[in-house]
Amino acid sequence: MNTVVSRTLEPGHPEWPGALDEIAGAPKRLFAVGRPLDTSRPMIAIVGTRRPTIAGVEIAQSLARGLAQGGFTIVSGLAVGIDAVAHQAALDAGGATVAVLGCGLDVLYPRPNLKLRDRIVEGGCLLTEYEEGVQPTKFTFPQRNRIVAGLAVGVIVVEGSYRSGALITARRALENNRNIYAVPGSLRNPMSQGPNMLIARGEAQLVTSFKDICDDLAPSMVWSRSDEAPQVEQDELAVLDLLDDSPSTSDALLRAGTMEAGQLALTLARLEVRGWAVRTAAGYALSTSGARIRAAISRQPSVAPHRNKIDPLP
Amino acid sequence: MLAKTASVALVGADAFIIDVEVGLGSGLPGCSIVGLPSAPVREAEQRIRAALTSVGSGWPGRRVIANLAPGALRKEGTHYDLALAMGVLSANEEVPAASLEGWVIIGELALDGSVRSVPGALPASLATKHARLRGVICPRINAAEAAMVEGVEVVPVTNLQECADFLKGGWKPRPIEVPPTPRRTPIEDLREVRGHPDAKFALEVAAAGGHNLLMFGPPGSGKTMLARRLPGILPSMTLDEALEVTRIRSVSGMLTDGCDLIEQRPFRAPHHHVSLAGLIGGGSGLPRPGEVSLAHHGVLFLDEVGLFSRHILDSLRAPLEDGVVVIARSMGAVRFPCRFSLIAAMNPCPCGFLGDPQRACRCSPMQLSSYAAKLTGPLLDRIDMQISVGRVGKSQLLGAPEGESSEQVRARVEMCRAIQMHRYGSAVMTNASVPRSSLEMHMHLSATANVFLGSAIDLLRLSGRGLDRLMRVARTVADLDGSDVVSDDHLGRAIGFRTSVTEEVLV
Repeated sequence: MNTVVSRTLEPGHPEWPGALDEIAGAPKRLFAVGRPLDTSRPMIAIVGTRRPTIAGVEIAQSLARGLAQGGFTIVSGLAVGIDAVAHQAALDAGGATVAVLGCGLDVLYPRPNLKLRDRIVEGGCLLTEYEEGVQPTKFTFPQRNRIVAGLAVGVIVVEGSYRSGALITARRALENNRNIYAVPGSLRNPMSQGPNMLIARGEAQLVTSFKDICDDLAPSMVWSRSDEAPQVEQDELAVLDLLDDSPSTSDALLRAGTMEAGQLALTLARLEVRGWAVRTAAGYALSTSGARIRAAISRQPSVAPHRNKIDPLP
Repeated sequence: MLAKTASVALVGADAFIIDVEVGLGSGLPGCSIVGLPSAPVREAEQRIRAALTSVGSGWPGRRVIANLAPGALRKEGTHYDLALAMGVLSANEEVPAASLEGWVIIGELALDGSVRSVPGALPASLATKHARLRGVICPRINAAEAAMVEGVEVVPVTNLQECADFLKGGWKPRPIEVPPTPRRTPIEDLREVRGHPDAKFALEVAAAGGHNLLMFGPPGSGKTMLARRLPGILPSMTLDEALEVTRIRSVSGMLTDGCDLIEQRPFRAPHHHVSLAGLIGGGSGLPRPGEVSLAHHGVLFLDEVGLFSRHILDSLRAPLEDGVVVIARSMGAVRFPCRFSLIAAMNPCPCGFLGDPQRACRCSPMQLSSYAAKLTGPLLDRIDMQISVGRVGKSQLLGAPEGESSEQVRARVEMCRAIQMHRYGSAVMTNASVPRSSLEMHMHLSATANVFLGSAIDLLRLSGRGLDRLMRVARTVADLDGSDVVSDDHLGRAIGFRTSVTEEVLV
């Protein structure tokens, strides 16, 4: 892509996001490619590490999917990792997404996300404040983050270490009076240090589901319940209790539980087939649906768990 | 006067009988060796002259012509010295021509007339038996090796004089002494491995079904320790297998200081910087067996498999598939057998800490994807099983009871191999290597297993190949259980061992 058919947005332009006027050091103009920016929809940013855990990927997916279906435009930075997952999930759910770049529109960066970038040009929008030909540097990304924060009504930090760029976006959001949400994680997950710190300092609201954000930002939405209730075997529940976001080898699970090796292997295989556990190079980890099932059952052992689906108000 | 005797040429792991003819003709005293000799063979003249002089038999005062037949086969190595020297003595009528009949002679000469050891005594002995010749005259150091073959007379000599005296009659060699301490690496027992019950079971399944195995685990989790114990739980080698292993060692020159029959399955762990010739075989001059052939009937362990270069890993395809390496040279092709069990080990990522609960992974996404991409295609297709090995905690290291010994596990493995042998009617066929059609014929899934398999195929997105490998492992797990029917328990185990590297690359 050498020649880009881009539009220039300036204050006063129908597509100009008014929210940007509220932030300090707002850009004077923006270059855009893709679908027109719908400024009437609320935008929400999902940011995080470039090296997410499997749990982080799944959480970002489910947040982006839910919020996109709920009518939010998902904003992020097109980086690999959480950013890419969020864009992708929004597009997959048929929602809108905006990617803010730290380089000119003709610079193909980052390489691994070129396919996703094409999809966004088709079904979403690419934005940047940089002229064509400007290469990404370590200075342009923090600048880009201020636009991400400025566009959105709230920023969700999914995973990130202490030094993550996601925290810069969160700080910018805080400075500009945006809502910050953080997904908590295990103390032993180094990628949850960032969000945990934001929560500990009271800078971010703790988020366990996209509903928390909808409840906070759009309390008028309603929720429907589907009545499919999966049956969970006793064995499966016992193993689900042993699993965690960070993967454990089956040997470790064998030590932790009381189950005999063959039975454990079979149960893990069943959980994997049901999509409640995932196998990685480092062992088995809990999947999002697994976590949900486990939570539902531990709350109400007698009542079958429900799967929630979002229905925006007509 | 024309003298005739015999020696051998080493081609791959085999030896061929070479006729050695020596004639005296008119002309200035000198020597020409014909029959495509390489440099070491041509230099034999100087060694023989000096050796003959030092034992008091002079060099004939006429022109010496030596011919090594067949003439079109290139002759490599220094083991022709002794045969050529005997030919010269016989042509000079110092040794009766008839006494050379039926002997294959190998050995390198020193200038003082003593005989040095050479590689390939065992193949030479096998070739002698095959050609129905009487026996082998060889250096004393190699005698034990040559004597492994029954029905071949072995005459150990330490110098030129002994050899000549033996042929003239009147000298009897001392009996061959088998090296007092045969070089054996101590057997590493599975009992020493603490913790890792699942990984140990995976090793047992791999041994029982002949499956290749991929291990993931952070540094220090015990991958190498586990891999080293696979040879000990594989079935004991048959005499033929042991002879093949010893023969390959012999031609690669690893037995030149004397050795007994190798009865322990080999374990080879080439470093990731190994060259193509080092791994597969080849090299300049006489092609030598590579690591894959040295691992014949044993285990080839590729530690840090992600660090091997891609073309090296791709080169393993043919050896894994055919069980034989063919090295083509302008002078003809050389074959080395290479049937081995493969164990590949890998950190979860280049830095080793991906998924580690305590330390952060420092690899870039680019590094992660190129690391895993090494393992695509040809190699992965031949690996049936994948396991994750975690670090074992302090309490496990110190407090855990000893596990089963290798011997106990090997007994089960041998039983399981016997079942497979009976089923497939062939000793070399295992669940991992039988053709798919014959595996399908013997796959009896229970009703619940069938339903489970159906949903597994859909939800785990198994490919055709993935399914095939899963079935093979499930069959082995059931065989180890002594069950003809594959139940959902067996299938569950196999699902836990399935290879899924390609599935998770995208994260």
